[in-house]
Amino acid sequence: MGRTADQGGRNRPFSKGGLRLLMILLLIPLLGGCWDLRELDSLALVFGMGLDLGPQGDGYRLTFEIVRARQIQTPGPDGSGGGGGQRNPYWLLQATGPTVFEAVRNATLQSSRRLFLSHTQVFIIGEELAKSGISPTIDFIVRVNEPRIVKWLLLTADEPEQIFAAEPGLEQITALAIADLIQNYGITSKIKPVRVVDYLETRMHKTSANTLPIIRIKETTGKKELIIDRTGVIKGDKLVGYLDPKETRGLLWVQDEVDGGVVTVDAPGGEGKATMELFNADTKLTVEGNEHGIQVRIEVKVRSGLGAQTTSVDLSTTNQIERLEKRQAEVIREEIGAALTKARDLKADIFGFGEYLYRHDHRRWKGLESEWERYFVGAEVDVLVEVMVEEVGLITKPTIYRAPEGG
Amino acid sequence: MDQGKISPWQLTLLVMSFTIGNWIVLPAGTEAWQNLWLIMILALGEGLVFAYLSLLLFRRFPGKTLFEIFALVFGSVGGKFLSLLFLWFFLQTGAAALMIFVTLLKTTIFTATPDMALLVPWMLIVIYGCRRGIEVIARSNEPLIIATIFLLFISVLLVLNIFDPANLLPLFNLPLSDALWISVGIAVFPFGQNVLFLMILPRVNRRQKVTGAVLKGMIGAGGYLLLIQFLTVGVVGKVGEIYVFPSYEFYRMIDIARVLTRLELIPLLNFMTMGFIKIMLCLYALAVGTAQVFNLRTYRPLVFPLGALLLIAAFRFAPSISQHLRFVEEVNPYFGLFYSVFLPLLTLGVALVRGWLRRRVTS
Repeated sequence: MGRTADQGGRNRPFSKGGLRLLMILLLIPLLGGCWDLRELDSLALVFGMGLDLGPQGDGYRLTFEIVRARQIQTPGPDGSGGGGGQRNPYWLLQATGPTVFEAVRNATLQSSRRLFLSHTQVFIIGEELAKSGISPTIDFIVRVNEPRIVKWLLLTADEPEQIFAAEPGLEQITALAIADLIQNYGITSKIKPVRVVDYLETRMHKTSANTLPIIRIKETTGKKELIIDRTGVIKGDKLVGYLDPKETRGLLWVQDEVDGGVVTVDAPGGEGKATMELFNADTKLTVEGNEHGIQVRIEVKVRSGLGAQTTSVDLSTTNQIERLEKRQAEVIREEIGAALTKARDLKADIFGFGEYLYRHDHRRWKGLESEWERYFVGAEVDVLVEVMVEEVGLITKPTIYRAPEGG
Repeated sequence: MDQGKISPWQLTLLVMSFTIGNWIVLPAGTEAWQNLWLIMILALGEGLVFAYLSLLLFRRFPGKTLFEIFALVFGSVGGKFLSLLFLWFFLQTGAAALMIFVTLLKTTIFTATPDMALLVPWMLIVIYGCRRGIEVIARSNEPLIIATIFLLFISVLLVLNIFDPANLLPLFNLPLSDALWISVGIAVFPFGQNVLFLMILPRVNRRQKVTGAVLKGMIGAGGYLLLIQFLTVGVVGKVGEIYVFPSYEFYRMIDIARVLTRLELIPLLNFMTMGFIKIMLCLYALAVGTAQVFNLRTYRPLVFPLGALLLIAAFRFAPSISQHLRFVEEVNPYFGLFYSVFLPLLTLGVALVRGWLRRRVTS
């Protein structure tokens, strides 16, 4: 009996069921998980990455803000904190190398865990490096699968490590605080948010100039805090100039990226000022051109409401509202004008007029492309601003209300 | 030989999966980037014409595989020679799909996994499915293609907030000759590769519906790929040009309220299912073809060794993605035209002339 069964087995080494079972057994260990098993406790989660020129001016010096996951648990009711000690919730690690990639790997010489870049929220580039070119730095971020191209790109005049070492305000990790800071740009619309992919996209249009927000340290009562209040202009991959907040918003107006914010105007018919809140802004850009020059038309439509006034004059009457609208339009025109003047000074097409022309009339664009700088500087720009003031808030008469004389 | 039967509808779905195959992650003709989706419409038209011409061959010899037709038209020796040429085509098509499969996984998620650990279990499933015959392949394809189409519709909803129509402009900025040449390249790959189905058509149960089924499948796949390409350009923009796997990058950019992000598994899933069917069909055609060349009773014992051969070929033909891209760009248009247009038409022409001669002799 046993022999026959054996022989049967020999003739058909794999019965149908046996083969299936063998396959399943073979597949289980292979399909179970990744080869390079990486659990959370063996990874160094990088949240912020700072990039600057190396010590001797060649190569790169990288700063990583690595989160200490155990330190950022919320404190228990007794205030003792979730996990051991009072250590910083993050660890700053620096490494150098001839390329960004090698510097990232060199960082592991000092780190007990492998650096994991997938969660990097911000990439902060030192100005020294920005002056010598940004793209060589970004290549690694785009080429490798871990870092994500939809994360924020910033510049700083300070050392990147100083930025990460600053007070993160309400957050625990500076990199996260910076990411949130940029994401809330619409509250003022004075920051130009740029993702890595946006930078790359603009870079690929030969004539367009990039703009990047600049973060710096501001000392408040002895503490180092962070502020983003300038924008760097990057022409041909190199930092060439700066926009102040007013010019930055001028840029955002043209690019239809104003998401909110306030505009302050001199109050009509009296001393003092009035501040309007922007509810909604919509910009339409048209660029036309021929070999004699280009014409640009920027039409801005704004809906806003009165938010504060410092004068005692009642601004809520229809007459006054009309004047407010006019003055607000004036201020917006000024902002756009300021950005235009700066861009012309730098000969940098930060608005993407060239890109617009390429997209809508690429045949004409071909003729103008080689001398675009000249055409851009000489462009005739019409700015039309239409403002609607729709709301006056919860009160009509000003709080600095003066009863009519003789009442 | 395999006696399984499939319905015309299953054939349509198979053609769809096969065409979508590896194109979904690695499109050809990326030098036309922004215009690619427009060129694809043209390419689909050309592909349909090519396919119709090849299908005439099947109409003239109903119930015969391509290799049997070769034998009938060119005689035993000539037919065998052409059959061997075509076996090479099946091998190369399957190897390319396999190579892209492993490259995609290696550069994206399984960065440290050895190639063989990815390929061997994959090939085992392919071999298993292939041994089961065309009926099983067709039936397993049904849920996979339906899932793929479903994921596409989901993707459309997911990218509504990041889709920028301005990225599509200018609509057309290529010289016409370039556009035509690229369209020919696309007409032969992926659409032209459907010539492989000439090995499978005899297994369809209602022959009169075959032509319609194949063309329908190609149109479906063409629409699918076009939509993916359209979305990718609109979302990724000009940057997509520099990526090896643009549609993968497109899913990485999805961001719904910072909650729904990192959906890059969708393209991987799409490719793994569609590529699976494609590689399986290539191996099937390879095995059935080899069996017919050597007049074997069954193709089944051949599947395993040929599967192993496919695996080796994947590394041999294109050791790096750069070589594959160069092949697709420089060689493939000629290579594809030779196999999916020239050879079928030559066969059809010779068959018609011989038929005409025979009629004259008898009359």
